[in-house]
Amino acid sequence: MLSIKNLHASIGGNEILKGISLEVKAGEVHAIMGPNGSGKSTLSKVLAGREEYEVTAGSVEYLGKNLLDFSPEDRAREGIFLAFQYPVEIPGVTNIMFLRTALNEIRKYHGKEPLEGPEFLKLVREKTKILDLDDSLLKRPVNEGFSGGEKKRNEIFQMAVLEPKLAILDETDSGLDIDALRAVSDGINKLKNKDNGIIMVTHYQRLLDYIVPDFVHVLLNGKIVKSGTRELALELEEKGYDWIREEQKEEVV
Amino acid sequence: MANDQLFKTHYTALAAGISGNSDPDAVKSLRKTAIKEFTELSFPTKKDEPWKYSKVDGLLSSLFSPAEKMSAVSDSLLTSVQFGNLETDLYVFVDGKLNPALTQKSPESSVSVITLKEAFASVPNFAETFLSKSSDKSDLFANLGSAFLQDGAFISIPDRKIQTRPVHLLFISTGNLVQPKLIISAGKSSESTFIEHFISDGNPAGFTNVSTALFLAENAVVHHTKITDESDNGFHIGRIEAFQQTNSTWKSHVITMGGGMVRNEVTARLSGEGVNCLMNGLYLVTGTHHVENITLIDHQKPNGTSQESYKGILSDKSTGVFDGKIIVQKDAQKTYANQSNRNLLLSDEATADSKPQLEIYADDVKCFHGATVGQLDEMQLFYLQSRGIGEPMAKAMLTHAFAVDVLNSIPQAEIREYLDQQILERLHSPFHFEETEV
Ligand SMILES: Nc1ncnc2c1ncn2[C@@H]1O[C@H](COP(=O)(O)OP(=O)(O)OP(=O)(O)O)[C@@H](O)[C@H]1O
Ligand SMILES: [Mg+2]
Repeated sequence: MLSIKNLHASIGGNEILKGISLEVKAGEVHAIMGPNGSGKSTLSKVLAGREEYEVTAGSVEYLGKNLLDFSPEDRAREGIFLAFQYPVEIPGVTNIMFLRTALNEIRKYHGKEPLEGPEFLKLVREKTKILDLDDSLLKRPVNEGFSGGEKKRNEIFQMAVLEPKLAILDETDSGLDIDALRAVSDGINKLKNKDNGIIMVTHYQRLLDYIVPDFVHVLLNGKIVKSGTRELALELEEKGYDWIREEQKEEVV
Repeated sequence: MANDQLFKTHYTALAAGISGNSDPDAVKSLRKTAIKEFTELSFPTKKDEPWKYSKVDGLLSSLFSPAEKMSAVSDSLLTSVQFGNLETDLYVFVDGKLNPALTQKSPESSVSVITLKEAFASVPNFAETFLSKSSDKSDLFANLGSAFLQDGAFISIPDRKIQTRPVHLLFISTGNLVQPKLIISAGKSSESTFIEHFISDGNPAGFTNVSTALFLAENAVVHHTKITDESDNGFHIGRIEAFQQTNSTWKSHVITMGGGMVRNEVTARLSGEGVNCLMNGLYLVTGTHHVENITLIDHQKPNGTSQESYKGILSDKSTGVFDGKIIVQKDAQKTYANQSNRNLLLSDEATADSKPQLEIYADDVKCFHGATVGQLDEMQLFYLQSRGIGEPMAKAMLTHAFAVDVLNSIPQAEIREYLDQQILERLHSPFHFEETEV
């Protein structure tokens, strides 16, 4: 469903992504790991359409269309969802109003009637239960004053309501306590089916115990330098990234 | 300045025609002094401090005259400015003159509204008690208003009466010189709500020059909201001055949504101990319109608190000005004053000038102030878009979010919702305010 070929992107003249290629088929779960600053969030945001980053080369095809032609909102309407590493606080907009507007904008795009209050609430209730999300968070302004864990949970709650086709989860597991990790994993697993793709950016093996990836990729200095299966994640957990850096040097030599 | 001369000649000639022979001597002499002052004062220029960023000079090239007769008002216009299902006492002023046929009032109301003419005749020492306190004797436009003194109303609520039903004072301009004077007298321990609401019938050019004086006796609570939403071609200058006695509370909201050139001057005199003053303002400026807010909070006695928040939303090529001063006089120990002015520029061609000022003469006080001018936050915008919300809608949501807390202190939900909808319309928002109860 997603085919990234030789993607280069820069910001303020600095090249961050230096030729990324990645193939995600429907039904697959991909994990992306890599040291701090290697470009994982940049890749996520470029896919979601953040205009701050300039794509200088390469292509991204999503469900047969050129993804880079779409505005951020149209990407979301076409089924792409980015769970932010740092969810944004929006004072003055309640979580519930935000989500209802988003859902109805997406429905409108697909020619569907907006969900009225009671139907919408029913949907929301279902999803809050899965994520064990406190009702009071719905009435509060989006992410404002939420704890780190609450913010992450709120991202997955939004995902659960919007039901995307391709979810890109940027370090959704960071900062979660054990119960929250389980709740969030449940939420993600509910989305997993043969039609949907999931890309998970993570630093830890822990999440992969709950959501088993089909592929694991290592992103280093703006490039995917190694791909493998879940065993690769275990190896990284044990040995860190230095051995991969060494391998890279050898290749260059 | 030749225009200046024309301006003076035009208005003094008109003022001379005011018939007020039956009025008390005090009123007559007040008009006379005002005409004299008006003739002697010069038209404000950019060099005069509180007029630095002003655009009142447009008044030199458009001269207006009072309406010759009272225009009819359509039902649809009246319906369009109701606050949802909120029941109010409604008083309609057409070009500044009360039209009693349009009054809607509950028989249980404790608030009395009479015309100024009636007040001259029936309230003892009216001029001395209510007209001579005002501090705007050195102001050209205040004097212009006083020179024509006859339209407007005297509004009073007796001691200890609590009136929850708001009093809606609706001013409809048909495009003339409109100069009402409002005097609101709130008795001891009374509580009341007033909405001064200025609109135009159609889109005529006109000049509204209004003065409001509020007298809050001990422990009185007054909720006061002024909504200015006049014609794009109009000029509006409004002066509001509140005199607050011991432990009184004044909650002022000045909401400017329409008008070609609008100047709001809002002054609070905290002349008793333990006075509370809330001054909130919102100015939503579009096109090539201009809005200026000049505020003054004068802490004269100990233990007073003032909380001021003015917010501007400026789009297109509009301009907005905030000039807010807080004075804490020597006697006013233990004063708490907090002032903020924030501006949101929705276009590169809009400008906002902000000038917050503190003058503190007491030593044991807590005062804060701050001002910002900024744009919509890129990350917030992207976050909303990344959830499928289109750019215009996302911008409207963020703009609305920026504005909305200014309205939160208006007690009536219906008025908040009315203003909310109006704001969204002005922003050409595809987004509609619809709360989901959780
Ligand atoms: N707006 C920006 N301006 C300048 N440099 C930037 C900007 N955004 C990202 N970068 C740089 O790009 C590089 C990649 O950042 P990115 O956030 O993609 O890393 P990451 O792999 O997600 O790291 P982490 O694991 O810490 O989240 C970093 O060196 C970062 O400093
Ligand atoms: Mg990151």
